[in-house]
This record gives sequence, C-alpha cells and structure tokens, in this order.
Amino acid sequence: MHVTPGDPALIMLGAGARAEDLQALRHNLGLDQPIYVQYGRFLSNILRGDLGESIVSKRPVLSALLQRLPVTLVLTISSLIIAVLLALPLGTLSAIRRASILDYGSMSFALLGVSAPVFWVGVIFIFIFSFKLSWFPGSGYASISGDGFAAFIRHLILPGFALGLGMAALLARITRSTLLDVLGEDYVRTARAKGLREGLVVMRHGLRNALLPLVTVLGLQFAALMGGAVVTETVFALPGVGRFAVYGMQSHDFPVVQGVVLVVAVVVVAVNVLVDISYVALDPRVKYN
Amino acid sequence: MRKQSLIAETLRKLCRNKGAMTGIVIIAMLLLTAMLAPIIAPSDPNAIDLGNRLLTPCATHLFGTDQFGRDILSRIIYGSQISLAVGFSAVAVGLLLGVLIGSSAGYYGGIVDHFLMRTMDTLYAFPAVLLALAIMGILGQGLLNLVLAAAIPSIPGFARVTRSTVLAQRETVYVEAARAYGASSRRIVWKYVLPNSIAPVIVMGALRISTAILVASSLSFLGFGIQPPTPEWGAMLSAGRGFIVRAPHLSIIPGLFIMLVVLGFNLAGDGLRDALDPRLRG
Repeated sequence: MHVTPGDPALIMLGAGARAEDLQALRHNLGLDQPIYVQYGRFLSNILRGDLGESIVSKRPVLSALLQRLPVTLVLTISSLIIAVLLALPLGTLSAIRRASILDYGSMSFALLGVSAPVFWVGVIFIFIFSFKLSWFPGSGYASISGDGFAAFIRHLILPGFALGLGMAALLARITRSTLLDVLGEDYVRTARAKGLREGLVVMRHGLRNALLPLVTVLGLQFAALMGGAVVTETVFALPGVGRFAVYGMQSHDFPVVQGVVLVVAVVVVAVNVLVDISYVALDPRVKYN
Repeated sequence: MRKQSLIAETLRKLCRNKGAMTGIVIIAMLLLTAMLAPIIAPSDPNAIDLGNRLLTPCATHLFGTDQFGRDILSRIIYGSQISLAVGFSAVAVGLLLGVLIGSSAGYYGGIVDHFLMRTMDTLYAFPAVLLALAIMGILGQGLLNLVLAAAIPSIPGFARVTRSTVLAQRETVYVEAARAYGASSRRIVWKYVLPNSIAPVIVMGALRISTAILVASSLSFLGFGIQPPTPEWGAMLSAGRGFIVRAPHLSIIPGLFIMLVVLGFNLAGDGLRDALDPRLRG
C-alpha cells in the first residue's frame, strides 16, 4: 500500500494542496518515517487495542470495525447454517442411495456449486429473485432492532444463500464420502445385525461419527467463507467489514485495510479454537487437559 | 524405468476416470481457445461499436455485445488467455516458493522449521481473497502483481504438504546412505528427497489452479485486478452488473466461463489426486 500510486496526504488535502502542507501532514501521520518504524509503532498500538485512525473519516478504525463486524458475522453464520442445512441431507441421501439418480444429481450440484464464483451466484440471485420475481430485496441490510425481524431475514436470504452455496457443495461431498466410509465399519454392520432400523443406524451410528471430519473442514473453510463475505458484501451492498476493506483500498486508507485484515484473522483463529473445543462434545474419546 | 511406469500407470488411471477426462477436455479446449484467440475471435475484443450497444445474442454476435458495442464472444475468447495465464503462473510461483519453504523446514528442522512454519500458520489465518486484496494494495495493480497476489495465499498449503513428505523422506534408508557417503544437504534435498516427495505437491498444484483463478477473478470483479479495457472475465462480469435488467447476458456469460474453467481444473485435479495419491481423497 505504501508504494501504490496515490498519496494518503494528497487524498486528504486535495489536489490543490501546497507542498509544505502535504509534508506537514505526512509528518503528523508518521508517513515520512521508515516502514519498519511505522510497523513497530503499529504493532505496539495493536497491543493497546489501537488500530489507528481512518485517514479519510478521521474516526478510530477499531470502533468503525466493531460497528460493521456484526453484519459480517451475521452473514457468515447464516450462510454456514444454510450450508449445513443443505449439505447434511444431500450428502446423507447420496451416501445411502449410492449410484442412484439422486446421488448423481446431488453430486453434480455439489461439483457445480464448488466451481461457481460467489459474485456470479450473487448477481444471478439478484437478477432472478429480486428483479424478475421481486421476492427479496437485492441490496442493503436491515437490523432487527431498527427494521424488525421479518425485514432482517428478507435482506439476509439472498446473500446468505449466495455465500452458503459453495460451502454447502463442499460439505455435501465430504458428508457423502465420510458417511460411505463410516457405513462400511464393523460397528454399523453390528447395529444392522441386531435389527436396528436403517434410519437409526444412519443417524446414530453413521452421521454422528461422520460429524468430526465435517466440523474440521468447517473450521478450515471458515477463512474462505470470510473471504467470500468480502465479495458478497460488495455484491449486495452490505455494510460489513469486507465492504469496508474494499472502500479502504479504493481510498488508499491503509489503516482501514490493515484493521480489517487483522480483525478477520482474529475471528478465523477464534472459530478454529471453538472447533477444537467442539471435538470434546462430538467425540467422547477426545479429551483436553 | 520406475519413473516411466509410474507415469504410464497414472495416465492409465486418468483415462479410466470419466470426471478427470471431462476436466482434461475442458482445459484442452480452453487452452486451444486461448492459443488460437487471434485466429478464432470474430473481431477485435476492444473494437467499440456504439451503434450496436447491448445486443442480445444473435447470428452476428453469438454472445451479444456489451455497453460499448464490443463483441462479447471475442472478449471471452481473449479473456481465456488471462484466466489461464494467471491460474498457471500463480500456482507455479506458489508451488516454487512453497516447496522451497516446506523442504527447508522439513529437512533442517529445529528453529528453521519453527520459524518458517509459524509464519505459514499466520498466513493461513487470512482469507485468500482478503490477503490478495491487501497484497494488491501493497504492490499496486497490474498483471504480474495479480499473479503474485493470487500466488501468495497458496504458499502455506504447498509448504505444509512438502514439509510433511520431506519429514517422512528424511528418515528413509537411501537418504541416510547419501548422508553417510558425505553428500551435501542441498544435493540430498534436490536429488533424493524432493523427487520422492513431489506427487502430493503436483496433486495440490492441479487443485490450486482453480482457486488461483477464482481469487484473481474476484480481485478483478472488485476492481483491483485487471483493468478495463483488457478483457478479463471477472471485470467483464462486474461491468455487466450495471445492465443486469436490460442485458443480463453481460454478467451471465463471463460467470459461466469462470465456472467452466474452475470446473475443468477441479475435475482434472480430483482425477489426478485419485490416480497419484488416493490417500489425499477428501
């Protein structure tokens, strides 16, 4: 960002600014110091919870980020819920009806879903469900407190599905392959041999044991989901941290971009810690001291 | 002799895999399209014809025209050059750096391993698109920088896979023998360790091409990758959004081609993985 054409001081003061004013502003912002000095100061500020000030709005980056983070989290969590709700039945049906039309159909969907770019899916959804059918709004965000629960859900459905579709496709493929492995195990044969109904065998013995790799992938893919949120927020004009980063890039507001990258990384690490903790609940053999 | 039989066996397995063959055919057709672009494109991809703006697909313009009257088919054909070039080069750069880092970490161990792999772990925490976006911010726009921005997020994956296979190779008898007769570390890594660790890296490379193409087209879609008027599929889709009601084909067609190229590499990558290293099956 330091070597990109576009000087933050020039952006703030405008094209007609005098050279000495520009120099004074660069000095005030610390932009005239060597990169390593700027970086050292940035690190020490982070430790004190200070992510700096936006060059354009002059507001603290942290408070602006915290204001936008809930939108991104709501989007990613809802897309995760949508992905799991689509993937578990699809993957399970594919596994128990292996080599059937249903299996081929859902796995073809999964393959296309993994390959379709999220911004394209978003644009197509807006075209069909917003412009053509007028079922859902194609842009903007509605908060529960300000606009009510119904408006909140209506605004969330299209971006949630657009972002969740790729994840659903990936999870459906993994559910199918792990469930196929698990259903070939001895204890599943034993469960069937003692006369347990097929539904119970799949739910209690199959799916329960297939959940662990699924949750692992979910944790690993969370970073990709946050990345997808950057694009989805831009497509659907959602005021989240991803769109904030894009705005920061456009206006050469580097404290904003640094702040977004940092906060998103912290969220990704936190989710992976939660995934690790969830192993204990999912698999009684896992214990942490 | 052994190397030849491994390649023959891999090819045989690939030919038997319908999905892989579909993927290879898609990639081959797109490669041909990219190479023959100047011959097969019906017109100049940047030729403006304001009298024929926003035409829907018809006999003279098979994919219609855009807001400047440019032929979309020609722009799609030339756009394939960029998508494939960025995908292949980004993976080549990511693979090279990842293998270098992973093999150094795996072979030398200790503090080198610790430092390199913790750096890779840190990179893993950043979403690829966001990391690439920040890298474009640091490097500035341009094709070469786009390749680097799409390559850097893939380095940790290559480094991890290389490290794990090198760790296993390090303990083998033939590496011990090479060490015993006084071969240098560099010779051992290049001559004995890496050639025997490369299969999973190649599989990962094939699978990462689609990710690199998606990251690069996402950046162009956001306005930070390839700049207009260069025909790039992500940028074309983004420009078409403004005309979604009147001319939806402006957004639909470039997106279909991004999906097609990604699908091709996903299918071929899955097939290669099954043929070379079934243990990696996800």
